[in-house]
Amino acid sequence: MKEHNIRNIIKYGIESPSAGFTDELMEKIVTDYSIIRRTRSAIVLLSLGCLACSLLLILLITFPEFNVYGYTFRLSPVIIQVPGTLFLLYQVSQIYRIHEFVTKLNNLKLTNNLTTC
Amino acid sequence: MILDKIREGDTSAFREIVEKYKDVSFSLACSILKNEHEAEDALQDSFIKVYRNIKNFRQESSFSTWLYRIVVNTCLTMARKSKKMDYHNDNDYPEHDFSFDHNTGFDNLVVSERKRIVNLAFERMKPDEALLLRLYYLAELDIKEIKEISGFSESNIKVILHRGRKNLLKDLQKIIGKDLKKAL
Repeated sequence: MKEHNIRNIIKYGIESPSAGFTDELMEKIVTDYSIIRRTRSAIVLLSLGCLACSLLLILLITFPEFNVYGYTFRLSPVIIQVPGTLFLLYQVSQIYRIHEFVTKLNNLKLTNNLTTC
Repeated sequence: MILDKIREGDTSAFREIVEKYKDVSFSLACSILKNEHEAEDALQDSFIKVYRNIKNFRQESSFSTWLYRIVVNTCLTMARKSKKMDYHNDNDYPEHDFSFDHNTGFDNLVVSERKRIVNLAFERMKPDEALLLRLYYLAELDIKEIKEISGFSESNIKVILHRGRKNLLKDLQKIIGKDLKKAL
C-alpha cells in the first residue's frame, strides 16, 4: 500500500480532547500563574519585613539612647520588645499567606509540575 | 514571533499554540495511555509544563518536537504510575455496531465511521507502534525527530514502523472484513 494511503488512514483517526479543554486549561494556567506570582511577592515581602525588623532591632539594641533635636530618648528593654513582637507577628502572617497559596496549588494538583520537566 | 509573545506572558498567544497542537498531542497521549480521560489529564499537565518552561526552550529542535517530547514523557510517567503499559493483544474483537456494508469498502464510509474504525485499530495496537505511527504520519516528523522524542535508535524506529504498518492494516482488515488494499 502506498505511503500516502496509510497517512490518510491514520489521519482519519485523529482524536480531539473534550470541547471545553482549551478554556479549562487556560483558566488553570491563569490561576496557577497568579498564585505563583502572589506567592513570590509574599516571599519577597516576608524577606524585606524580616530585614527591616532585624535592622530596627539591631539599631535599638546598639543605641538604646539617642538624641533628636536636643531631646534625649532612652529606650527601656520593654520598648525594644515591641518591634520584636511586631516582627514575629508579621513573619507568622506572611508564612500563613504562603501556606494558603501552596494549599491552593495542591488543590489544583499542579505542585508536581513546579519542577522543570 | 508567537513564542516571544508567550515568553512575555501573552496567554492568548499560548491559546493559539494549544489550539494548533492539541489534537495531534491528544492522539499521541491516547496511543500510550489508551484512555481518553487519562490522556486529557496528561495533555493538560504537558501544556502547563510547556507554558512554565517556554523560557528555557532554546530552539535547538523545532517547537513541535519539544512539545511532543514533553507530551510523551508525561504520558510515560503517568502510564508507569498506573502500570498501564499493557495492551490488548487478543484477536477477538468485541461486537461493534458498525452500520456499514462490508462490500462498500473503507472509502465509502462516512468520516465518523472511518474515525471509529481507525481508532479501534489503534486501541488494539502496542503503545510503541501506535505512538511511532502517529509521530511519523500524523505529526509528520522525520526519523531523527522521532528518535529525539522516543529515545529509540533509528533502525529500531524503522522496524517498529514497519511492524506497526503491517499490524494496523491487518487489524483494519479484520474490522472491515475485506481486503483493505481493494477497499482503497
